[in-house]
Amino acid sequence: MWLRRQDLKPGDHVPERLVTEAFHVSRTPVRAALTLLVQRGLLERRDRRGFFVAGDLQATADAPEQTGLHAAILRDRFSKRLESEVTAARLMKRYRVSRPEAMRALTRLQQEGIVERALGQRWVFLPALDSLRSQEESHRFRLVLEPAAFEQPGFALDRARARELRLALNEMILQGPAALDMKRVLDTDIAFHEAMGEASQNRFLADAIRRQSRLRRLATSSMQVPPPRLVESCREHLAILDAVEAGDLARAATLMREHLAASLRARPGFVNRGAPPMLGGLRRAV
Amino acid sequence: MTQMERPRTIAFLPEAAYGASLNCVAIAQELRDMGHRPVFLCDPGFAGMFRNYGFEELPVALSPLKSEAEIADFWQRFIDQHRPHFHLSPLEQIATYEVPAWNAIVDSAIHAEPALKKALAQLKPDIVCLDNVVYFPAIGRAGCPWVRIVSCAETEIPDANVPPYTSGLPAADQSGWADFRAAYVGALKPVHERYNAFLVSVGEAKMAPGEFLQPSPWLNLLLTPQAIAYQRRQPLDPRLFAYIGGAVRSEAPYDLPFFPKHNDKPLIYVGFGSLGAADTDLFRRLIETFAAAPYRVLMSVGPYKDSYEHVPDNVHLEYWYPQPAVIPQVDLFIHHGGNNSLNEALSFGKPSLVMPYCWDGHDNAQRVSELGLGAKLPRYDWTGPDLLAAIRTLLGDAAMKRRLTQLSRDLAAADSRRRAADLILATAGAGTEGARRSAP
Repeated sequence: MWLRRQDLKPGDHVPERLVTEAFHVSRTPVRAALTLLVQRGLLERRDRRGFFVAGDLQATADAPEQTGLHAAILRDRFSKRLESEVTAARLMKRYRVSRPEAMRALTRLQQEGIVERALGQRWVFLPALDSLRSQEESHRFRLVLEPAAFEQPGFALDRARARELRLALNEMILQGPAALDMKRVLDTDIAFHEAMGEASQNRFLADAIRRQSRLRRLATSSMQVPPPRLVESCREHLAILDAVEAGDLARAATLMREHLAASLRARPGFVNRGAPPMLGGLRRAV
Repeated sequence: MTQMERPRTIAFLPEAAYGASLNCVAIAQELRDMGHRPVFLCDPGFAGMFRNYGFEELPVALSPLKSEAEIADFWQRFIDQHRPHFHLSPLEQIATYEVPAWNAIVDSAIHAEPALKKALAQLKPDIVCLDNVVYFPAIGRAGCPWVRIVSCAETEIPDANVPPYTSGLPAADQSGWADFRAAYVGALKPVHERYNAFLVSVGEAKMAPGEFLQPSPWLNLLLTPQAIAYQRRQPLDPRLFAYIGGAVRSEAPYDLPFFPKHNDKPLIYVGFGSLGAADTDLFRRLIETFAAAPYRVLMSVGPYKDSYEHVPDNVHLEYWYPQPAVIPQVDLFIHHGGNNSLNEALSFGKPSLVMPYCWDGHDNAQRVSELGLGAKLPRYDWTGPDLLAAIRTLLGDAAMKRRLTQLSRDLAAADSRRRAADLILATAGAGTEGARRSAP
């Protein structure tokens, strides 16, 4: 993600020093990470000269990151096929994989904040956007968090970034509800919210927004929002950009609050003729 | 806009239920595409739903309950009280389920009246489309024509040759009809008297026993395909009544999930409506049965998804599906006989296995099975082998498939949404010219 934002072209040098400074880590883990990207074909290593961009980093934004065992585990957990706690042995049996393969998948899930090691051989799935309750919690958390981005001292939105966002949003509005590409809608939505987080210049705030984005990308079950609402949401993003560019950050915060509240509108869980519709589920199971 | 000189404002008042709301969305989508302005008068509990489809909303509370806690208590009591009633026969459900439901419906009509009057005075629509089972006097007095959308089974409009509403009785055998009618009118007498007293209090005439909504003197749209209509003794006046078939809304495309097991096998969709999803025991039995069957199954489980664990590899649960985008991809639709579900199955030429539990679901279950467009199975009284045998039979019935394919082609050619929109607009035009005002 970080590399993609550096606007690097194939052949450009990726200095290790820049990465160590950006992430405040030593050279060893940086070298390991860059070597991993070499294995994935995104970078190439030239003897003594360091790492260089091998392919189009922007194009990789759309490349499926969840493949094989990792994707299968996520899919099955979100489909309630895997329990909330698993062991490597359970994964080996279910997916017919070796222990090292199972451990690699678990380690990756741990790095992504999806699972956590528990006592013994167990791994526990952390809250993800895999239930109505957690989706609502995520929404309410974002409602607390994101309007605050505009209230941070030094809030500054990069002009080029704002222009890119405007282009993408206008394109979707022009396309209209019938022609929307759902993946592009999600990508643009996430790019918009992350841009506001970064513009806040508060790294904790930006990081919290990015964590929510990651969970949103992993959620396999959406709330099935009708396309007209998605177009309306693009218009709301534009209005927020307008307010930011007009320097009215208080208005931007209000619009962000309204935007997130509108997206929280859910279908009633219970309806029947003559009865008041009810949002969500009942407190007691039936 | 082709035939209209000016855009019309069309008010929709669907009852606070998904079936009525979503087929009104379908008709409103068509009207909007033609350049008109649909506005939804909706209960605050539905606020946002129509807006999410891109429509204006005007709030009209259909219930006096307001706080989330009050509403949650209502539903907890409702589910606790009525779940056992869904095991009963249609005749037994009159006293146990329909009488309380009609009381709630009458309450909603009485409660909504002042707010509805105000909303209509503010909006000044060219026409009002009422999709409900009860009459709201404010609509008749709005100074414009109104349309009755009949989005339950056709049995909602009575006739001597049509089985009684909600009875689930066969069209070919009238032996149980009179008893059912008598039981229905008798049990509903107190609530009907209460409703009549309300009508009189606002200066309206009383309604006949058992009747809560008369046909509109302007236009009545039956969301029933002509092909499954009953042979009426008194045919409906074609100037006032139109069988338009289902009004199926447009939804975003639905990508099927990957099933770790049986990913190449026939696909079944199970949706029992929002109320049906509360019956988690029934869903557990279904899931258990499907686990050992050679099918892929999509199940709509409402807000209860989180209460299921160990979902089999050939089953996929979801809170909600955009049904009109899912049904075209399935081989069989198992539903509760809701009129929208039936219309979606027929529109896309899919066989129905109907497991009804209340209201017109009984009538639709009977109708699809007597016309060979699907089958019915008792809601609870079945074994795993019964269910799987019924599914096998439906999936293998080539003659039924041919009938359904033909019916689906006819419905597509008839373009029911456009026809409904055209009829509504023609009636709105007639309203401004002061035409037709007499009752049918």
